[in-house]
Amino acid sequence: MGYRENLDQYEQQLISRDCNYTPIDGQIKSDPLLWTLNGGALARQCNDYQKSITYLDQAEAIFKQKETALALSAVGQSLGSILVNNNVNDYQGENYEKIMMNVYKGLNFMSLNDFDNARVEFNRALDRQRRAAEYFEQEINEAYKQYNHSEYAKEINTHSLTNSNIKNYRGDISPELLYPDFINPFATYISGLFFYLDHDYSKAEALFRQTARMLPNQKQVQDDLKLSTQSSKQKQNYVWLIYENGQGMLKSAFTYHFPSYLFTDKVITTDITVPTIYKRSLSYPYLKLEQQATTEIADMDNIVQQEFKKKLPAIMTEAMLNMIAKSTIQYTLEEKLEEYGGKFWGFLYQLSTDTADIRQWRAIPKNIQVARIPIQDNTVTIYKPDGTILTKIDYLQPNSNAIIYIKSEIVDHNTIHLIQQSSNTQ
Amino acid sequence: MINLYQSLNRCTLAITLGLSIILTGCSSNVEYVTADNAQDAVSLGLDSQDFELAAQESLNSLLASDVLNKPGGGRYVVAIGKVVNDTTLRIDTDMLIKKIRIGMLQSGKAVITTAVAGNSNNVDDLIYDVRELRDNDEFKQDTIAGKGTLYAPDLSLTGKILQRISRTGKNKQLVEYYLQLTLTDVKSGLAYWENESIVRKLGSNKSTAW
Repeated sequence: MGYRENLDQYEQQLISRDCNYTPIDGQIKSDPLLWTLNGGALARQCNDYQKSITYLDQAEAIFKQKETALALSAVGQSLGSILVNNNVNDYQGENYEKIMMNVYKGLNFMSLNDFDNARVEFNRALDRQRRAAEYFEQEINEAYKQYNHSEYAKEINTHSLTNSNIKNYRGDISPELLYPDFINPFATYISGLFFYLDHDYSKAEALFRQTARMLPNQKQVQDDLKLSTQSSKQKQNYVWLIYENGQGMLKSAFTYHFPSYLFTDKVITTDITVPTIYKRSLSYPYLKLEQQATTEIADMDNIVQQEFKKKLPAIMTEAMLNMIAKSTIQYTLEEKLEEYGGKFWGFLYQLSTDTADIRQWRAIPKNIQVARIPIQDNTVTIYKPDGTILTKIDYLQPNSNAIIYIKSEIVDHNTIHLIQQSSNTQ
Repeated sequence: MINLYQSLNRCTLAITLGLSIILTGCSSNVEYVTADNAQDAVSLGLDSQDFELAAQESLNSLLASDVLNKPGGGRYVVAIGKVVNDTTLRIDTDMLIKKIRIGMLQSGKAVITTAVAGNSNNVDDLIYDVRELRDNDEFKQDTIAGKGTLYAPDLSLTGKILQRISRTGKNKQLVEYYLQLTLTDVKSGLAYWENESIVRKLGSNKSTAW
């Protein structure tokens, strides 16, 4: 039905920063949520932060509408998707997309130097994190039980304190340790970083602490936690590099062919097509902020995969029902319209509707990394792993903290955002 | 399986092939909110009614305290500082403050300066624009405010709106708002008055509170 082509085309636009919004605006009418999200990501790539916020605000309103309307029309919707196809329904969106939507809006507002509205967006992202943990409650509880009964847990409880990394595991395992694959540690971390830059040190400390519990071996998070606890007089100014690396997992269609004679000779084909996902490649494995290499803070692939896994049983059931319904239609067409070649029409119908739902927000990276150094003067250089310069930024203000945000889908395609609060607003 | 096939009649087919006849319903009824249906208009966010109640509560507390009674008579000059919105809602914090400003002015115990404020929206730029006209021949110079005429504030009013959201039971969420205000003596840096009003709302957990 053209979703693959449209999304592939969009992805090319995103990578090459082709800021023509006409194709997106055209698609919004037919599938509003998917294309407002896509529009938001493209406008951000094009450094048009206000436009990006406008698209993402629309997306957020659609999410809200879908969530509150779901119970009312669930019957109608599932009937529709079984008989026709998921793609006829509007895109419903994923939890991790909602979280990243608010994170991007927060970053956009920061770029516009509107820290008041950025605060609202990061608060929203944090509430969505809480809701994601609720969504995965069962899985997290299951993992928690398994861990506490494992040999690993026993070993840690008996050999505590000797290894500095293990110190964090003292006693019972903290549930946060199980979160990284279910909720997004980056969203908690970047919210913490926002509050740090907004001089709300106690809130920053709480959020860095929460991130550190999720990622006990992440040194940068530990260092940022330490920084947030220092008295404000000692604080010098730093620049953080946030690096969005590569392209996230890609949904694709996978078709099982059932021999149709299993059913009846009046059915030509009996297929079931379900979405599957596979990993894609990195851009640069890491970047260097002067001498400081970035380290991973979120594996987005794992997060995407967990959510996909949770939804898969329902998708499979729906696909099976879909297959039965369509075979039924082929059969019935053949019975009633045999003289006009009913089987053929039924076959055509099945072809036209047998496409798995492979829609997704294509702007999600493979992983996200971070590094930080003190600001010495106006200039900072970012290097590729081979030592060549990726970019040199020479308009930093040494008197305030800054974030350099780089998104690189593939090598040599980089979008760079600089966030530094103007000194006249605080 | 065969029974299932046979149970599908032409009617089902027609609907199926029509592809698009999926149950949709939409209504766009708009109603005025009155005392009778106010309950239906309640959302998990902060609405004007919440602002009104919270502001009234704060104002009552402020006027009941002794803070605004200036020793020896006269009126205090109050500046409106920053009110931090630490919620998930895009709130106009001026809405909360406005009622308190009005109440303070009506009490006759305080005046509000619009020459300085925590948020530039609360500064009246005209005060400064007029002073720019000092050497402009078109203006009668003795009608232009002279130097040293603005009053510095005695007190500053600042605040914060906090929000806590938690799930209660399986499908409900509790949303709490804390509206905190502080009146600080500018010279000494000491807080003379503080108040916290709490708004609690319970609603469905199906969607977010904003």
